[in-house]
Amino acid sequence: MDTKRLVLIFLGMWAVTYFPRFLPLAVLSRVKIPGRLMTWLSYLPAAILSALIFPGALVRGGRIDPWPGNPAVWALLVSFFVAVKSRNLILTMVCGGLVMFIGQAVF
Amino acid sequence: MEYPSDARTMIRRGFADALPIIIGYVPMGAAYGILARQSSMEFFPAVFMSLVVFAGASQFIAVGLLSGGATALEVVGATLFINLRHILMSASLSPYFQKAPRKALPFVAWGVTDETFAISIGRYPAGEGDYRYALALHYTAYVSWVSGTVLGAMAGSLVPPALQSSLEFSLYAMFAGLVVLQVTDRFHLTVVFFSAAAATLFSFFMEGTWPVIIAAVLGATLGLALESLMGKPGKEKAGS
Repeated sequence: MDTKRLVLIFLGMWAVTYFPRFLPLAVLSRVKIPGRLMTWLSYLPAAILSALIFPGALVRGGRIDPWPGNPAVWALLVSFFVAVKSRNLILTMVCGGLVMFIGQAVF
Repeated sequence: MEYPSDARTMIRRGFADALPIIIGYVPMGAAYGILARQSSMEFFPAVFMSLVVFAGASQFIAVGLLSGGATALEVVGATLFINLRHILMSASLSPYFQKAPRKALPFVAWGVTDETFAISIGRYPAGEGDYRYALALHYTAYVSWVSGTVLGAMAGSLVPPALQSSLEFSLYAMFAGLVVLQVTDRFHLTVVFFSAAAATLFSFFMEGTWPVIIAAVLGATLGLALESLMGKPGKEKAGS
């Protein structure tokens, strides 16, 4: 692949990646945020995180596979269980990763 | 500037909080580096993409598109499309950067990824994070992403595939751990279940990042509606 063309494409990718990250922060951190928007924003992290996990973790072979034959289903269940019980991030990651590892050998 | 903690505490906390991200980013960056080299990209452009773009999902997709002969517009368009969700993350960080120096914001913003957002958003409401915390966290994540890419682009393959995918999965386990910490009351719990179900449902018939964006917007709106109708919920489970 032509390096010069790639570099130009990457700079384009930079721009469209950077501005969605920058503009809301730059604008909203400089204005007084109305109460309702503030309440809405307070629910946004929980909503984003849960929306990211499920379709993301359960993709297999380019398709959503939410059924028990997918090791990620079990790894995710164990991750939630450990997270609720321990509230320890690293322990959750280790247990989730371990189940994923074993699960791939089984399924 | 008035902050509850001094600079050193903030920066240290930023480095410490980056640990779970490093665990996931190094193998993920390596996976990207390997894929880029396998698709006949040279070493320099493969690493350069991680240096300037710093967006995991869109880099993987860009490699796929480029090796399939896509045009520049298609690659940039797909990247924009995937990264639109960061608008929501950037917006939800904004209340906590009202007092941050204006000059710091462009640098903080550069490092807003799914993972740095997920880790840090639990810190700000308690005053445990500020722009210095964010900079330490974001740039440690950035360095680990680029380092992973260099390793992958050099080595070709590092670890057995089953181990690789388990390491990559650990980032989702991290999200799971963080979403649990977000559940401070029954309204947040409702929002979590609703958004997860909605995103999964939408994923069956929508492309790319739209399921995440639409589910998150609907989920936060549900939270606002619940709170408007029933008043502020009591804190039943203490988050940390």
